[in-house]
This record gives sequence, structure tokens and C-alpha cells, in this order.
Amino acid sequence: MGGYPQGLAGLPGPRLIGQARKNMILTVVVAYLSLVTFVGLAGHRFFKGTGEDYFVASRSIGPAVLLLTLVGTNMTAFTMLGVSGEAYNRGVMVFAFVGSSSAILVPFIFYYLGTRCWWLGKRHGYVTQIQLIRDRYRSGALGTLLFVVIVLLMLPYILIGVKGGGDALNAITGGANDGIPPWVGSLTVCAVTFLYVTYGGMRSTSWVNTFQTTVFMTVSAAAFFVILSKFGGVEAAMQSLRERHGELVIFGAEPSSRLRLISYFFIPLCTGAFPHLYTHWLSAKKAHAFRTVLVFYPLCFLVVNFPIVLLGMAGRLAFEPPLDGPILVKLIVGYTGGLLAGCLAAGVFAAIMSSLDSQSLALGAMFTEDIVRHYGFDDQLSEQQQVMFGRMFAAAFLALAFVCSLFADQSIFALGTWSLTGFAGLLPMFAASLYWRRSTKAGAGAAICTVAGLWAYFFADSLGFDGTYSIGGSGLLPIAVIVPASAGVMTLVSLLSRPPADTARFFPES
Amino acid sequence: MKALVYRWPLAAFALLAVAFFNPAAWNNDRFLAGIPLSLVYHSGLCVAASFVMWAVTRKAWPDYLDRG
Repeated sequence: MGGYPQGLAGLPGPRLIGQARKNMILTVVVAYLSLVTFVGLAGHRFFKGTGEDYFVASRSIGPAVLLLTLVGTNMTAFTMLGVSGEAYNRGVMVFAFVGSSSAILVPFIFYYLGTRCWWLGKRHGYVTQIQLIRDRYRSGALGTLLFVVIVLLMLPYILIGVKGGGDALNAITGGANDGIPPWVGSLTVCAVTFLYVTYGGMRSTSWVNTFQTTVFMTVSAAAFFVILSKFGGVEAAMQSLRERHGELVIFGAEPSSRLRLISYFFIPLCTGAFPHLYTHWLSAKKAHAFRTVLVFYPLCFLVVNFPIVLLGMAGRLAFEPPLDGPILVKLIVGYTGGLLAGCLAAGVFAAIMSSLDSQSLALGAMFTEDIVRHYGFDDQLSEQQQVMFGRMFAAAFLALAFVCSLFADQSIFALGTWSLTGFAGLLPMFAASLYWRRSTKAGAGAAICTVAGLWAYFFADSLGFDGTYSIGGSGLLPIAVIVPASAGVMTLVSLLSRPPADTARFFPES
Repeated sequence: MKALVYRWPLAAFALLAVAFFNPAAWNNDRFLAGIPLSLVYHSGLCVAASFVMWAVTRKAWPDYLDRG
């Protein structure tokens, strides 16, 4: 067994974590976090001191960095910890839920929405999507409503990262018994992110994301080969799984799978409404940078999700439910040596922080541009003051997320799904603003209110529900109702209200 | 002259979506190269999406984007 105790059904069992391995893991994690901080702070050397440079790196990001930044920003604790956890419970179908659905949808969203937003941002000087919506529909109130909804939806999404960092560090260092308390990991993630985001802004964030995406793609591949080799390789592990948990290798084994799959196909729509992806789109130097992103994004999603789903499934060979920590972390700790376990733990942190930084920065940009500048200061705000407000709000939101993480007890996956549901519901409104001249302020406002109302209704209905909530237990998730409802209301109310005047400057066809 | 907004990529997307929900990939426990066949199939869809996007960037790149 090569130092591994007897496990389930004759397979090697997980090793307990000793003090020496724990120290090694912590050393590697600390070294990694120091390196991330160094890369982030290095970005500050090129900082020009302006608001535009802080929020969108003076629109100077090239194709490779843009690709890895967008991939990293879209990979969260939801991907590393939540997806492996869902694969542990639901099996192979999870790859379609989060992998192939995103690989198909997201590049089209970047193609139709991302490039158009980039063009409008460069032409009109936007750095946030609320600036675009305010300008397009000539309504300050609509922008403020959107700001409130986005901030409320963003909080649980940021919580995924903060809580995921705490849970991961706790599980890696021994779990509930003698592991480092979750709040220490959460605080560490917030502190490191705070340092490089507030110091270097978008340029530091993009550089760090590029580095971190490379790390967690490498690490998930390494974890895949190292851990599955302990079960005799991929083929042997999957064969064992078919014999013991056949339902995990069958696509659509659960009766409600079809409705669930339809629901999950809506989830990648959220990428078209994320404020942190919007700011990254605007940071591109040229439209050509998007070409690389469009072609390689599906492959990056494949590279990341394929090993993670298989690892999550293989977790059933080693650990019986219920689990007392994230399955990926339990596999890492149980089946790899101290140095590799530390690297893999760093990979988990990489996935978490590569989203948290962009989210904090985007919220800082929104607060500065859409609230502070819009209400009161307008053009009196100097470049230095813009940067200061951006930093203050990013820090405040990270602090709020940290405090909330101390009390949040829902699973990471459930938290993520609720946040993504809300953002996906906003996509029809954003798409209409970019492609439908006849869309109106009233239509956009009604769509936002519809999303907020339905989201609150379904969320309240889900409280106290054990497991993943679906409408009436059918497998159909609220997102499959919210997105069509939002699109329908946007269309209907726009047609019933007066057409907007002077929209030509938003449409290149003009 | 190139169009400003192309619509054929939407048709390509629809084809990928149909393939995504392909019922033939359901309810089987067959394996290919030691990996569940449905996983191989959906991995293939990711690769297909990449090829489609390559074609989109070559043949349906909106003209206005490069005019700045």
C-alpha cells in the first residue's frame, strides 16, 4: 500500500495528517501567498495614478493575460471545492452542469456582449456597466437600482471565496479536530487580496490572476494524476466506481436530471452580467485580444473541470458520506505528500483569490464611479480621489464578506448557485441595451424588479430546504424561470412604453 | 464589406446546444478508454466549441471592432 492504510473495499485508505506534513503544507501555502503578494505589488510599479488605470489598467491588457484573467476570474471556490463536492454526490453529470455548458455558452457571450461592451467602453469612456446603462437609458435612478441589486447579489458570491478559503485551510490542516480555525484562512485570503488589489488595481489583479490561473490549472492536472494513481490509475478507479457506485458513472441516472440539466444550461448566462468580468473586458487593449479568449476559453474550462469532476467522483472510493470537509481537500491531504499537498492547497487558494480580487476591484469601481461621482462630486473628483474611493470600498466590502463568512453555514455550492441565478436573470436586460434599440428605461427597470422579486421569492421558499432546492422538487431550478421571465418582462414593457430617442451612438450599425 | 453583426454564429450555437442535450448520451454506463462515455462526449463538445469559435473569429469578426 506504500504507506497507506487499508481503505474501503481493499483500496488504499487516506493517511492521517501528521505534524510534519502539516508544517510542510503551511510552509508551501505561506510561500505561495507571499509570491502572489509580490506579483501583485510588482504591478504597482506601472501604476499611472489615474482612476482609469486603477480600474481598467488604461485598457492595455493583451490577449494571453486577458484569457487567463477571464478564466481565473470565472473559476472560484465554487469550481475547485463546490464542483468536486457535487461530483462526489451526483457523479459524471456535474461535468455537463458546469463544464461543457460553460464551454459552449460563455464564448458566445464574450463574442456578442463582451466585444460590444469593450467597443462602447472605449468609445464613451465607461469603466462600469452601470455607466453604460445610465447613459443608454438616460436614467440615474435605474443605475442606482442596478447598483443595489448587483451589490446584494455579489455578497454571497464573494462569500464563496472568503468562506472557501477558511474551509480549505481548516480541512488541509486537520479538519474539525486540530485544524486551523476557518476564520484564520478567511482572514488570510481577504488580507492578501486587499493588499494587491488596493495597491495595484486592475494591472496587479490581471497579473496575479494570470499567475494563479496557471497555478491551479497545473495543480488540478497534478492532483488528477497523483491521486488517481493511488487507486490504480484512471481506468481502474472508474471501473471500481462502476462496480460500487454505478449511479455516479451514468449520465442522467437521477429521474430529475433532465430538468436539472436544462436549468444548469442557464447558469453560464451570469457571465454576461458579472461586473467583474465587465471591467476585465474593458481592460483589453484591442478587440483582437478577444479572439484568443474565444478560441481557448472552452479548452481551459475542459482542462480545469475534467480532472476536478473525476477526482470528486473518485472521492467516493475513499470517503463515505457524510463528509466533514471539502472532498478535494480530503483527497489532497489523504493521498499526497507534504510538498505536493502544499502545492495543491495553494492551487485551491489560487482559484479562490483569482475571483475575489476582481470582484473587490469591480465593486470599488462601481462605488466610485456610480455612487460617489454620480451623486455629489461629478467632475470635481481628482484622479487620486477616485483611486482612494475605489480602494476604500473594495476594502469595506472584503471586510463585510469576512464578517458574514463567520456566520454563513450554507454549502459553498448552494451559495454560489443563488448568486449566479440572480446575475443570469439580469442578462436579458444587458443584452437588450446592447442590441435592441427599441428597449426602454421602463422595460429595463421592470426586468430588474422582476429578477429581484422572483429571486427573493424562491430564496425564501428554499429556506430550511435540505439539499439543492428545485421548484416543487421537480429538478427545475429557479434560474429556468427567472431568466425567461426577465426577458419577457423586458420585451413586453419596452413595447408598451415610449421608444427612447437618440440611441444611434450606442449602435455601430448607425 | 464585412457585416457589423453576424447572425450565423447563433446557428452554430444552436447546433452545439442541440448536441449538448443529445438524448443518445443519456442513461448509459459505457466507457471509452476507461472514462465514462458521456464524459468523453461532453469533453468533445468543449473541443467542438473551440473550433466553432475559431471559425467565428475568422469568418464572422465584426468590422466595427477593428475600426475602434
